[in-house]
Amino acid sequence: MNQSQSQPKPQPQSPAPITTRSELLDALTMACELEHGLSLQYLFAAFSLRSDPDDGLTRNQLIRVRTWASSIFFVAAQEMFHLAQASNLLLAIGGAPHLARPNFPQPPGIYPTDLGWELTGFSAATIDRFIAYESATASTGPSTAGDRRLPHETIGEMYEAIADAFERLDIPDGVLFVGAPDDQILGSQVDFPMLIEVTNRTNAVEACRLVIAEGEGSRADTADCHEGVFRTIRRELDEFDPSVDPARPVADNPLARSHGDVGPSGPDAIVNPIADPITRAVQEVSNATYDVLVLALLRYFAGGRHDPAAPTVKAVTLQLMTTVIRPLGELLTRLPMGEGYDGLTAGPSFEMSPDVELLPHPHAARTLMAEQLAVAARDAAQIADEPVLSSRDASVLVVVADNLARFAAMLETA
Amino acid sequence: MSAIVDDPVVHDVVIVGAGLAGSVLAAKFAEAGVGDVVVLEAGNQAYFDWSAGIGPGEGADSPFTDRRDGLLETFFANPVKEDNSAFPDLSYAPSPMLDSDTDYFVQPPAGQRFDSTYMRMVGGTMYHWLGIAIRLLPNDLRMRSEYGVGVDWPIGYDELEPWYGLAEQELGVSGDAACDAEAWRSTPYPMPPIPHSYLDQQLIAATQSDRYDGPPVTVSPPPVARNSIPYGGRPACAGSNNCTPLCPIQAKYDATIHLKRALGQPDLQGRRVARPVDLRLGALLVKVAVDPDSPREVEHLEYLDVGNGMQRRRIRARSYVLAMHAVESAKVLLASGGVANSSDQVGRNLMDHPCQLTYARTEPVHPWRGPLVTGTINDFRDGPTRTDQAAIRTEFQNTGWSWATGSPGTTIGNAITDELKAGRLGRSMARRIADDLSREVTIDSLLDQLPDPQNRVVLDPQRRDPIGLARPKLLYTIDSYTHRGGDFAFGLCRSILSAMGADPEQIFAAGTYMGAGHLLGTHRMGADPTTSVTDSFGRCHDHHNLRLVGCGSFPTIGTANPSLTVVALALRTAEQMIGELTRRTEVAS
Repeated sequence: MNQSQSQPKPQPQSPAPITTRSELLDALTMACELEHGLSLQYLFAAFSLRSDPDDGLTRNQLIRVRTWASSIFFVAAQEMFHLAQASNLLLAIGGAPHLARPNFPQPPGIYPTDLGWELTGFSAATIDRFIAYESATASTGPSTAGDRRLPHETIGEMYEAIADAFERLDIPDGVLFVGAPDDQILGSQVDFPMLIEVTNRTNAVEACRLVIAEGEGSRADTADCHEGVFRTIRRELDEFDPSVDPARPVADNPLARSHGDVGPSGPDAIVNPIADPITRAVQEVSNATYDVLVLALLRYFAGGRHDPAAPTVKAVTLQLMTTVIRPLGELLTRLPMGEGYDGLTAGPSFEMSPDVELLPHPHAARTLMAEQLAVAARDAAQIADEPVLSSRDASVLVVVADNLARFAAMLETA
Repeated sequence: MSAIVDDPVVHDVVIVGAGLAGSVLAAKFAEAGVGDVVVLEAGNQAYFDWSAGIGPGEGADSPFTDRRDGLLETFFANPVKEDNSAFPDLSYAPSPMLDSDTDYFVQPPAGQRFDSTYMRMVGGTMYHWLGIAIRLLPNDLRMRSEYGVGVDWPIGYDELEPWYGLAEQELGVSGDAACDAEAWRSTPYPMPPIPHSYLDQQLIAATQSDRYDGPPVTVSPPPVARNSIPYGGRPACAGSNNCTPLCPIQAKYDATIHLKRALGQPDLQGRRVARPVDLRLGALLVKVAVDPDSPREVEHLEYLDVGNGMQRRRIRARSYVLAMHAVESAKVLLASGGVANSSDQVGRNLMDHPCQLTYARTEPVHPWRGPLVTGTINDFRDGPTRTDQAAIRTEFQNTGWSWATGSPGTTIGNAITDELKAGRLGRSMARRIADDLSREVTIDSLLDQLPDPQNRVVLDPQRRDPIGLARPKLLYTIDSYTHRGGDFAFGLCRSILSAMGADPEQIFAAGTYMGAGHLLGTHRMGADPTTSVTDSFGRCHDHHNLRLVGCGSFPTIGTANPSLTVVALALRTAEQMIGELTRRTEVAS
């Protein structure tokens, strides 16, 4: 299905332009939230794909599915890059880094696109939703939702409004760009070489244009943008053996606990509390790690990189993603949801605790993060001893526990 | 053998070889639409859907879909994992292998062997290249003038620079302009660099630490024709760690991208080329025939039509291009009675980048992830020492000791032997293997090699290939100039590995120089017809309608992997030939 190709672009009323710094800060804060949430939805779908030789796929099917996973991981990483870019825009005009977000699921309309905001496994419907997120064309026409926090129909339109504000805002340059240039996040430090340091109107607009181009593809070859990547996956999925499901049977929104900020969800977005106690315990380890990851990023984005211990904090942050979050994410898609779920499995829910805020004191922050990782390490090691786990799943937890303990020690001694 | 069958048409251009240079040229001719172009290719199978999408409007949904599944199956099934292990070895046109002189190359049984191979198949050797797409330095092109060794190229860097920029666009190159050394650029890289691996990061930290006692170095990401972001409708690199022999997802450029374009594949905007080329598979060139009445002119080519009982066919064109890689082009010219060889340089000056490998176990670096190489040192690519010793370019292998010792197989084998002797099994052995593999580091240094007329390809009439053609005999030595560079490289790498925590007594150099897979210099270009085979456009000094393109054209080789330069030169040659074809068409009309 080429949803956005087949529909003419609707002509919504142009939303009111951004005219004050406060409105611009609001829009950029929303952009951070949105990029953060998109990245997690993409990760969830990628983790759900069957990735192992013993997953029942032929070798060539496995290569195809792994290629989909790597493409989705790549787009997720670029959303993290966009998050860093939006953070630089925020920091440039005196804002604070914003990594808080509501837990999944959320109702359609909370962000531009009017689409569901939820964790769902890889499927044609999920990829269609991802295409719609990234599309230059509004998926549902002019919104009827009255509760949307920004008036824009698409993500690109939101960034266009931000770029327009940077060009037109009636504030002298020296006053608008009140953030310290030294506080800009450097691409070379976070493996995002295209990250733009924002110090004036020109590079602010350039940054917005880059994000738009990577998402919906303003470059001549639209195949190379996020929308194009998802369209390619969708086309290849249509050609895939229909008798084989490339994804594990993951439940939507598999949560370890209830949250006050969830929902009200749309008609198809269902909160699924995990019933299996071991799976729930693994989910809690994953969530605790995710919390530390966000705390560390907040420290780093908020100038913590000037701290002498910053290289250690950064190293721990990046390695948590690849050596804990990822293996736990894949593991969770193999673990059962439990009674009442008829064979469904879980997936990483990225549940955010309300106490995830910027920790102002560097030493205290490292102490708290180390403590939390040490607890998670202990929990992971204990779960690994559960006899119901397969030896393969137990060995994943053993490695994760070792890594968590190592990172805790690194932070303690930094 | 049956009589020769004549192709009744006199074509505008016949290109021989559908590898890198041939495919790029073919694509440019097809885009320009100015002539009738035939491509002869020895390989008999294309690993992409070809028949579906040639005609206008045909197969519009999935024309030219890549079909490397079969190659992957071959690779998985092959117990030997080396450069050619994913690819067909044609019964009638074998490809050289690394491990035996009973294969295609004829080499002396003892002494230094030429250690690089190529593939005779549709798309050529580009399937198994590493992907490094780095420019030569300005001084690489004027070695005689600047350092009194080697020869000068007939063109300078300033003239080549815009073609490098175009070549980077054509291939899709990821790179960091801040790390280009003296190779100045007028256009940005199309893509940002591939990030450093964890191994690179540990290595960078080591070279900046107090433990390092070598010369100051800067580690940078090498420019690569490997997508760091989606580009050209192909995905970003997924870190399969299998660039050689085969990228499973085509994030790395290969020549089929240009070949498909030449055959009519629409571009990303849906535009087709003006005039697709005529690709003939299983067409094995055996003779370049000079017009006896007009020796400045090649009169026709003769090839064997493999699919029709080895029928010998004759094809004529106004212009001929040999793009068969350095050894095959030289072999056919020599077998044709010394065509284009009044200088006696055809087959001579065979070069490679001998690779000095240093390896050790260090603190854990967790290799076997990401592209094979993501870090390089450019500091010793140029400088006054080049009067006396080879320049070097150093790379860090994200593949443990695989190149140096054949790990992981050898590592696992040794671990099993040692642990069994010690009476340990199970988890103990597994931990030992995991620990050993996580600490393996190999650093390779590509060494410059000067042209030597005694390093050469000749024919061995006593040793014949399966269809009776004389096999190429390689005469090859590595001189003291290169050895001195190798000694310097070992000292440098030893310092780096020591700083990374290796036991100084356990830092090893591979026993011999490895080949880089770069076969260079058998029909070099030059301004003087008495010492070179072609001019800077690849046109033979002896025959105005015969061009030789590809790696064989290089007079000297510096420390740059050659493919980007091959493409830059091919684009420049294409422009010249298209201009000629256009003028000819205008005159005719």
